[in-house]
Amino acid sequence: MGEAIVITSGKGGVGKTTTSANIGTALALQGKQVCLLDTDIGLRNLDVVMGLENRIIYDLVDVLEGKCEVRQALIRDKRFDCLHLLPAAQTKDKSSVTPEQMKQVVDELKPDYDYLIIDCPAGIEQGFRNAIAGADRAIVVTTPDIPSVRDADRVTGLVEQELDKPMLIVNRVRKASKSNETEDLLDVDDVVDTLSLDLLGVVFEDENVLKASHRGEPVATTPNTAASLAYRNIARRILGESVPLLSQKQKLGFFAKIKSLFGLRANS
Amino acid sequence: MKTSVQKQNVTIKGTKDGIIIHLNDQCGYDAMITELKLKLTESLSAFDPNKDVSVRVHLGKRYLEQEQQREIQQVIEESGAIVVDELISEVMTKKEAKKQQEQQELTTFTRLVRSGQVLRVKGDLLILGDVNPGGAVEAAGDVYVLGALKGIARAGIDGNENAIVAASVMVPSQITIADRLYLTEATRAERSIEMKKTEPKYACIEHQEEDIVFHAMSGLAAFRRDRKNEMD
Ligand SMILES: Nc1ncnc2c1ncn2[C@@H]1O[C@H](COP(=O)(O)OP(=O)(O)OP(=O)(O)O)[C@@H](O)[C@H]1O
Ligand SMILES: [Mg+2]
Repeated sequence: MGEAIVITSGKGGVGKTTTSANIGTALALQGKQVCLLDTDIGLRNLDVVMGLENRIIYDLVDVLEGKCEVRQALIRDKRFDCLHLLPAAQTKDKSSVTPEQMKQVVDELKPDYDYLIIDCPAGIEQGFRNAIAGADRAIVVTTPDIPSVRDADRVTGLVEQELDKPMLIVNRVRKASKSNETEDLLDVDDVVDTLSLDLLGVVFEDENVLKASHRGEPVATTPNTAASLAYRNIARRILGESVPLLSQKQKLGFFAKIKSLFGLRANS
Repeated sequence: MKTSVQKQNVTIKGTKDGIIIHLNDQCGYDAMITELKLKLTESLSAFDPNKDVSVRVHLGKRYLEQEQQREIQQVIEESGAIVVDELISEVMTKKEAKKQQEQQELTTFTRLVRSGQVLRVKGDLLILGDVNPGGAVEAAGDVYVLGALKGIARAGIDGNENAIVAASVMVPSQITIADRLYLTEATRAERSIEMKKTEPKYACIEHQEEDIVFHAMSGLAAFRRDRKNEMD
């Protein structure tokens, strides 16, 4: 029986879809059976990030309306046989699905997979309620800025009413090389302090993320980038391995050391 | 047969702190009022008519409705330049007792108060944990935060101006005590510096007509003592 993990954030655009795609891909890389569920009805784009948008025939709402079986709506990934996607509907809106229906779909899929990764829409309304309805646990994604952390805190409070304490991913963290560049951002320790959640991973700001989703290939499939490594480490932590976490400051020290040792510009 | 000395229903005594009127709690209410009026006219000459004399009224174990309390106060104050400070009764209704108990109770929450969450109690409130920005804690009495207060705290929400807000780390976005409001004007940078400090502080209304002020916790004992003295 698989585990359903919802990826949520409150605030929009902080990287839920990117995180869903990459955690899913990284788990598939480890040989796990994974199904991605896009619950952002009306604004779907998990399919685009995965490069699967042209293969959609049926979607989540079609399933709920009885137009097809769940399995008919699933799309197999181009790269991994063990990775599937259930796309959201593009033409409907979030009120066309109820939490009970969502839970039914999740429960139906769970026996066939090791992990179900549920991409949650922004906000705390119906779409959010739907997304967490079938989940066993939650991962909260935030960027290191005050508005995003505030919303992550709000959403954590709501998640905690239904599920256990979520895990935290801090996304788009800048390397503190130039201090003027980062002074208006929070550091990771501040974020973890405020939210008081266990840190599942830190993903650095990495232009390869955008490039990869442009190509329709999640960054986790590309080898030597900071983001790719981060997502693969996150997947290993989800599988229960203890992969050491590097805090922003330690990271700095670590890179500074590498740089001085090899006289290189660290790019990851 | 008549007893030679009838028990007095009303006794009026002058003390250095003003006048004390004892009202017998065993007689009928109307009889007591009649006697009170009489006694007041008799002793009127003893008071200086140009000076306000303050009076405390002891009711013993008699319970009075608000209406009756008002009547007694009126009777006394109409008789001359007298101000009734206080009506003191040794009894109260169950409802009042319950309310008083709630007001004196300390409720403890061991948790983090997150954005969008509100905790409210009728007495004093103790939070073992932080109050995050966007979270709110409210009490009719005091609010104590054994953690960082970064959100909103409201003390004395039913109007108690003696209520305080205390926190281990005091970086509130907003504090209300009774009807007084404090809004932080600190910048985010200033707040994040303050957040690193661990000097516990309390917020209070120190002087009527003035804004909420913050002090080191070490000053709280003196503040409480002053307030108690003022009330007695
Ligand atoms: N670590 C990163 N480095 C650089 N860019 C990133 C990173 N993570 C996400 N992005 C970019 O940020 C944008 C928003 O990401 P994404 O669509 O995953 O957010 P979202 O939370 O799903 O948004 P929405 O709330 O609209 O669903 C995308 O353009 C993505 O490429
Ligand atoms: Mg998204």
